[in-house]
Amino acid sequence: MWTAILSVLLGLAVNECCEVSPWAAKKIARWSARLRYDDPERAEIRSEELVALIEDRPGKLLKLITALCFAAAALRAWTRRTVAGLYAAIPAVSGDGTIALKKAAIVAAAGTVAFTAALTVETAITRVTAAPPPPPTFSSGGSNSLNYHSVAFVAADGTLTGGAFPEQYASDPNVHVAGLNTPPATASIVIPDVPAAGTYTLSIWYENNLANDGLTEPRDMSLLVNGQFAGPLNFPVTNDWYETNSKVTTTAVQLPSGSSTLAIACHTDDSCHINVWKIELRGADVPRRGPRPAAPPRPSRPVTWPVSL
Amino acid sequence: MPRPSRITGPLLDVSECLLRAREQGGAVHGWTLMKQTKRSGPTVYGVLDRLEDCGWIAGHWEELGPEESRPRRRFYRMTPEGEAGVRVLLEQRRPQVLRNLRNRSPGGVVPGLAPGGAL
Repeated sequence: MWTAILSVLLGLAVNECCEVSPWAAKKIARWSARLRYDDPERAEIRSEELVALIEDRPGKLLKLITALCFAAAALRAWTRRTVAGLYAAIPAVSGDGTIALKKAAIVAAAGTVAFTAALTVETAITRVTAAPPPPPTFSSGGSNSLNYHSVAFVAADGTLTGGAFPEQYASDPNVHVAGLNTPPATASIVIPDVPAAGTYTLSIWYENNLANDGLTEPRDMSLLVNGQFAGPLNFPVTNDWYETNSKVTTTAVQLPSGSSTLAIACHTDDSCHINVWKIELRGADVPRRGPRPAAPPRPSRPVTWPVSL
Repeated sequence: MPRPSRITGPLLDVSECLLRAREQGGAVHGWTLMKQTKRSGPTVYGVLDRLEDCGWIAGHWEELGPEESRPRRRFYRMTPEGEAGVRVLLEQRRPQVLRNLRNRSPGGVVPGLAPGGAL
């Protein structure tokens, strides 16, 4: 008896839910658009647009599922904005080197449980004492020479001029430098702390494939050190433009001690058209303080002949 | 020319559909883009936001007849700047797509085109 009644009630409830689904989906879609966008004009446009999209979507429950997907994305966007607002409201670094745990807040905001995470992070932001990150430097080793370890830079973190711009490939978390196609496109990085003048090994991770001049061929660029031409750079063809297909080109470069600017530049004589990902400078055996002075001549001992033992 | 801040797979997919639609002299709406790219709604609309922000696409509302009571769809078409930018991107990332577009015989119809086609 009860089973029969429950079955009927359940059937009615399911039927009612199916009937209500399209209506609820449209309500949720409108709410999502207003939550997702800061700009009220765009929010209104998207609101109407999403309702039309829900109307086009076949299937009553599918309409609701689509609307819920929009709602989840809107919630993430809203939480990201909220936490970014909190992040901006906190001073970045205090005078005594104390930093706030802002990054944790941003990372938490990117999570799928963003709504509650935002509230948790708001109360959980604490301050810890931490030293500011050290600048990239060379470290030394060896007795007669400095065996420098490498120092690496992401090219897109440098100065990009003349049409060069940062670009991110699909499914690739790393940012590359693109637009090194025509003069005077240049990507420059500053090496802040070269401990001694000498020869270093410069490695450049790059991609070179079918370019927008229609050619797939080895390319060349110019290397500048502190604005002066320091030699050509050669870039054989890679399999694709994606990071997984990056190749490394290596060249020797003379650097003075102290700070130097390295530039990968497209000159009028160069074929250009490469993307650059990473730049690494590796120390070779560099004399600690210039060449070792020649040993003074030994004082000669007067020799008398015949030698008497 | 401004460019989208991030070049992603969905952005290339959506751009490809919009370029096809432009070659047919028409525009597409969100649902068509979702079906053609097989991407979720939020992903497609995130891409449309970015393309709209840099002026690569422009949207317009469809005109409904007096007897039609359904919500209006919004159609998107690629701007000339957008077409130039997308062609450069596709040449770098998906040259095969451009070759297919060049080889395609004229007169094909893209499903979901705006009524009347030309904008």
